[in-house]
Amino acid sequence: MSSRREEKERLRLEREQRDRERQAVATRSRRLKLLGTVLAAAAAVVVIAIIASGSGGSKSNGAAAKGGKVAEVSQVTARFNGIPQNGLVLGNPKAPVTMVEFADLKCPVCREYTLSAFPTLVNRYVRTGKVKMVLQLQHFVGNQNDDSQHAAEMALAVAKQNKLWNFADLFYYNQGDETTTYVTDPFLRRIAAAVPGLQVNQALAARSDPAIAQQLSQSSNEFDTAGFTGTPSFAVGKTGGTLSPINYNSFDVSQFSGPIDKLLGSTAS
Amino acid sequence: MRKVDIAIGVVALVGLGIAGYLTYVHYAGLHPLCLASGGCEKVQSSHWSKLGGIPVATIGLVGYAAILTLLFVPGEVGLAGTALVALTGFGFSVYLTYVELFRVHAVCQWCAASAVLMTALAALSVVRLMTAEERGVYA
Repeated sequence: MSSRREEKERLRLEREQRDRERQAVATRSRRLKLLGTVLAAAAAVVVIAIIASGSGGSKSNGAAAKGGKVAEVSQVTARFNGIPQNGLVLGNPKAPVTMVEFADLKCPVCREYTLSAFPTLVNRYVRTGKVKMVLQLQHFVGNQNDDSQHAAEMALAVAKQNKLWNFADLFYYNQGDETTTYVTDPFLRRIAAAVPGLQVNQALAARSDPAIAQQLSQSSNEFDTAGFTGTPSFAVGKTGGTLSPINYNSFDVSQFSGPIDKLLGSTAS
Repeated sequence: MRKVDIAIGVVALVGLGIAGYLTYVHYAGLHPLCLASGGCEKVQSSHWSKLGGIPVATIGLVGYAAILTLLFVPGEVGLAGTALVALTGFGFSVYLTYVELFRVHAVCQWCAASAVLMTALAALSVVRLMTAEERGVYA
């Protein structure tokens, strides 16, 4: 009798053990499926985020140059929001230090500077009122069919409305291939229309103003007089004083912050 | 609360602190404290510092907060949700580290620290997901 009860108890324990093992296997299997689903969902979100993040990366997709959408509008707008602009000048007109940039809007290396060191310099020195920047536009890079010149003329026309830096930044972010001719009126209109508050038709019309051609010629002379041979080139100095060239060998912020800090230190003392 | 939950909570709190600091620095217009010359500032000012106009640091802040919140959600929703956020954060951290090294050519220590924390959170949340029932969560 006792032996039969023991046998039943043993069988019950074995059954329970088997049930537990089956349940554990089922749980593990379900969890693995759940983990697979979670991994797939996470991968999908990451891919979407990467596509969104990389849409205006260091290589221009040039979509705007081919009639597509203008990229990086909100980022550029935010960069200059609240910083005074007057003609070619960005920043506090009474800033103790002035930095002049000689650049060509079709120049890919100028674009590289604008996308790398420039935002940090703006945040650190221009937004804080320590440095004002001046953009002197050149027009010899990729100037087939006067393409580069058309870009510079439009930029100077936009400068009359004190929006030059927004326009130049947007141009760089949407720059096309320098060996192609893409600076057409529709392209310029698309870029200009993405600058908040800019009267686009007024800017397009202002390009024929003789003062624009004179300004371009003056920029070229200043570039030659300074002894520069390529873009971008930079000169920095105390405001109102003599400017010295910045001999950079990369677009690391320190290449620019070094000379600027030295000047700021001497203006403070 | 189990050890793995506590570990996730502690790591997420540290991440919340880092992301909160970077978010504060961004909106206050300050320069982040950085050991290397300009590295953090360069990364923070780069094109990749924002996603859809929102600073990546702020997205990280929301991610860490979500992980902490999901820790207290019972059942598989909480387990899977925590793992989903942590794995997404891990994947995006890998991408951002690549961007720092090969696109921006600067390393931000705060971002690197956050990437390490997200890696730990991803591993911990997977362990939590796979072991929860065995530990008697549903018992």
